[in-house]
Amino acid sequence: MSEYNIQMNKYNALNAGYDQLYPATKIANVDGLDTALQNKAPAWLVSKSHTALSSLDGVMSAIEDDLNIMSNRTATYIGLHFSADVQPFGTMNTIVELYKSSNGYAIAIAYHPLHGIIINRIYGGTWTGWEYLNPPMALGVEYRTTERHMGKPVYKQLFALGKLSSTAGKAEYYPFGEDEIAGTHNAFSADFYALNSADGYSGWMITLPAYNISGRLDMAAKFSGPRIEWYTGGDWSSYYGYAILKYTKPYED
Amino acid sequence: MKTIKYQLLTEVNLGTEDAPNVKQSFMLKVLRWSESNEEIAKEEAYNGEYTIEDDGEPEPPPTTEQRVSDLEEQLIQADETAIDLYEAQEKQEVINAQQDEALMELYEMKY
Repeated sequence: MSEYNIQMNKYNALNAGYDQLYPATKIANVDGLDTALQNKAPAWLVSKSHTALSSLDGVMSAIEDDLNIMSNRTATYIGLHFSADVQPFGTMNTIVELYKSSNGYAIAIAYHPLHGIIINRIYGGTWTGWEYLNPPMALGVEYRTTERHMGKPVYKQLFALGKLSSTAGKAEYYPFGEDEIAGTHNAFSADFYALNSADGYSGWMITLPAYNISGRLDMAAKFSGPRIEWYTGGDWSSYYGYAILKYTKPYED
Repeated sequence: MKTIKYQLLTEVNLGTEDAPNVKQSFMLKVLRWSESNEEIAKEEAYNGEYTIEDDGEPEPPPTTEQRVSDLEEQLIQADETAIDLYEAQEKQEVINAQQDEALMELYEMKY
């Protein structure tokens, strides 16, 4: 057997085994044979890159295109790059792991450098929309999360309420607009805190409810119907109020 | 009861420093009217626009917490007054003692 045939046999053996390897193993074990093995990737691994996507529809369209050429029970990684207009992603390169169960049933997991893991699922032909595993909780941004409450998607949002009242009594805040009808956003969980700094993260922080040394109530807050109600027992205008609401949208389709 | 109403603006950059993507959101804020709360409204109302409304209802009576707070304030003032009185009384006693001594010296000089 000539040296050439020996090398070809080794090559064919590697190529045959290559289809059985997990991608990470492939990279580790066949270093140097990348060129020879180009286009020999197994059928279930389709690696693509989509660039210059300028809208969320464009992103979804690119993902749909890949799904359409995938066989059932296969997975792939695709690279996405888009402009600042594509929310929730913003200007960023993202890798999306795509698993197709069958036509109309799939899951896309985006690994985003800024937002972490964001997930979108399609079942029965309808995408759920991008959902956050751990939202970055930027001020005033509504994040749909992977969490569910009574089967409904849970949204999280951090609200800045500005300076607290300088007089004892109740202040009201309408985070969902002054025309909000109670029940449109059902905040079943709320956290409140006060901070003596306007930047939202530094300074002296007080969680609510807050009591003074005599056990008298200094501050308390609640979400009620369409609004936040924040009670102060005196002058707290040197502090800024913040609210984190977790809510469902009962009338959401 | 008088209230102050205004829109509170929150701005956040969802992009990066190089490629900013600023998102604005507004929220209606309602405070009980007072001169100091009106100062807050002037400071943080969007475009400086706020309204003062009176729903015609009487001011709510002070809460238990507010009454306790007022009582504590009054007690502090009473304490300060008592201390002032005590200190004034002490000073008066010193003056009285000095006057007594002076009278004693006068008496001794005379006899």
